[in-house]
Amino acid sequence: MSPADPSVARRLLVVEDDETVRRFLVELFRKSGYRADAASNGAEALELVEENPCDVMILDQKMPGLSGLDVLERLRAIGPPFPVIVLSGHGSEELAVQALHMGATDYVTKAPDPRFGEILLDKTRRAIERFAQEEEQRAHVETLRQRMSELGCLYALEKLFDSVEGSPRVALSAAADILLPGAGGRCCAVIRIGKEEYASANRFESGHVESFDIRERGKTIGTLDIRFRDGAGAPPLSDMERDLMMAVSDRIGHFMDFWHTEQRLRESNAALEEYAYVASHDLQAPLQKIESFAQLLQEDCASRLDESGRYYVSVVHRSAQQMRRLIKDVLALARLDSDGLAIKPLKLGDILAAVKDQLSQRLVERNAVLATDALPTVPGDETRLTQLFQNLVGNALKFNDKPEPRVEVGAVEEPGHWRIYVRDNGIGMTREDAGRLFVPFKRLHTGEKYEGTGIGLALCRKIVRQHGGTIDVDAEPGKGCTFWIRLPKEPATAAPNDVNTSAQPP
Amino acid sequence: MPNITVQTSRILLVEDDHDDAALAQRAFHKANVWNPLDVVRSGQEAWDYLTHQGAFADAEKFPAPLFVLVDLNLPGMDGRELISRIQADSGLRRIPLLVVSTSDYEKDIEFGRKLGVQHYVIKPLQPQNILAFIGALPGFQIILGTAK
Repeated sequence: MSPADPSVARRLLVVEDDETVRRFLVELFRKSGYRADAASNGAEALELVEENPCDVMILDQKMPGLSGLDVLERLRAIGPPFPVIVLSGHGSEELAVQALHMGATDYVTKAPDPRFGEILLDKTRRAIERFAQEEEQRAHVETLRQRMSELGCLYALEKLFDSVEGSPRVALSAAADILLPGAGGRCCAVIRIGKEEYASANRFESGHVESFDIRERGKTIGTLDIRFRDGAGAPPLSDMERDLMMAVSDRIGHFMDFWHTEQRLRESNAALEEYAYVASHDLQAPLQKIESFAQLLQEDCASRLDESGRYYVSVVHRSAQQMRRLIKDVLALARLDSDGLAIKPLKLGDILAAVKDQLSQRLVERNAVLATDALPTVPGDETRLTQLFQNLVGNALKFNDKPEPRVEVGAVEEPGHWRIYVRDNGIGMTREDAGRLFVPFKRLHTGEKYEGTGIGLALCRKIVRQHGGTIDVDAEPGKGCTFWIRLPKEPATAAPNDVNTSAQPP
Repeated sequence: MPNITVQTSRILLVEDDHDDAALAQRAFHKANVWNPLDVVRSGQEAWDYLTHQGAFADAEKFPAPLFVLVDLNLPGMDGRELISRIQADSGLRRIPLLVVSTSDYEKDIEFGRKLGVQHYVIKPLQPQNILAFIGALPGFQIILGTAK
């Protein structure tokens, strides 16, 4: 319906059985610029508007045959709607109210009032305006409703694509079902990707098709086909539906891209895992032999070797050992990436007790003390946090030249996280060295003075980061060092370098 | 003096690598375990040995071993398949198994655990590994030599 534009003459229909009144009204409205027609009874009025709807109707309430209320009732059934102003007799306002309930826009009481014409004209103009506003609002609400269902559809697609793992088949078949909300039986959807087809449950074969390209990174990989039922008089897609289908086919393209990327990642992960296995087995096997047989030479044949021979063998043995440690540590570092974390509440006290147990021999040998203060329970992966503290306490013992090395472990509570410290009375380090500490393979000392691979602290940092925490060190040469580990009290969301946070794979 | 023949319990080692077999042999001797050690080189051979087939048809000469040491990576039928077969056989299942592997790969260890193999040793096999394993077995007759 066009908006209330005063320059356009309104088509107005007067429905009035009394000829005098009818003529008066037609005259009144024509003078005011309306194109006014007239009907003398309800049936005639209905016939006229069914042929050619008017912009506004002036409807007498009390007529022989169909009354005004009867006409309103039938108008409601035939539509399209236009404003109706009911003329009520004096003293029958109750009926007028009923007319309003039945869809009349307003009413005017017929009265021998000199201002009757003025009132009627005024109410008619306002009714047209209000009706136009209401139409606009109705259209707006309809747009909103459609937009909602469109958003609902996209949201459902989003959820669907997020939740379905394994194969796009399930996701796309389900997508075909939900992508035309409210389309009823008028059409069906078929998603074609390459040679695969995923159709909605109500699939049928004949009928004209509207097709939308599905693109993955700009390349067309398939189509989204909306097929209309033949002969059902199905209306074509509205602009809004077409927009929606375009958004949907975009979304499907992204989904396929995501799926393919994920698949590639999965494959390369599997290849990496295979590689790690080969590395751990096939590289270590010959090395173990070199080490074992060098040891055999030392143990079984030492008396038959002279001093330089014994020295050469010891170098072979030591180097093989070092190489094996390196491979082991590199693998450990690599596996931090490929294996998932199994996060659960961990009593750090228990972890430290386990570490103390594992290092018991070294603690006795070094005449060292490992003192632990009250320690909190934190969310973490048991294997990794054990590894972390084993490395830190092990380092504290290793880089220590005191006759009685001392390692203290404790915790400071802060809002949202714990700060755990591992403090030693060892050799300490310079500030510059402290900055280089967590880099893989970076060693601060020669292998002759302190053996190691330079991976331990890189491993520690990675573990702490995977737990959403940070690690740093306070140190001074000769005065020992204190490692500070900041761990969140609540489980962290996955760190970017985690592949997943699910339980450890079998 | 009457002639007494003592049937000595044998130990089966499934290992395709000569050197590793030699290391294992030495470790047994270092641990003072002097039971005869039969070495087979593949899972199939081990299966024949345990089920008295082919070259091992003589059940008297090759009775059920005291225990079996299995390397996981073997040509043909590998250690995993062999272990699965042994564990699936109601008779053979009773024979204690010790997995000896180059790999400290968690998946291998986990695999053994799932099949009920309790003992897993990373190569090279050391005398103390053997003693610990034997110590964990209930009431087995071991020939211990004189300690050096």
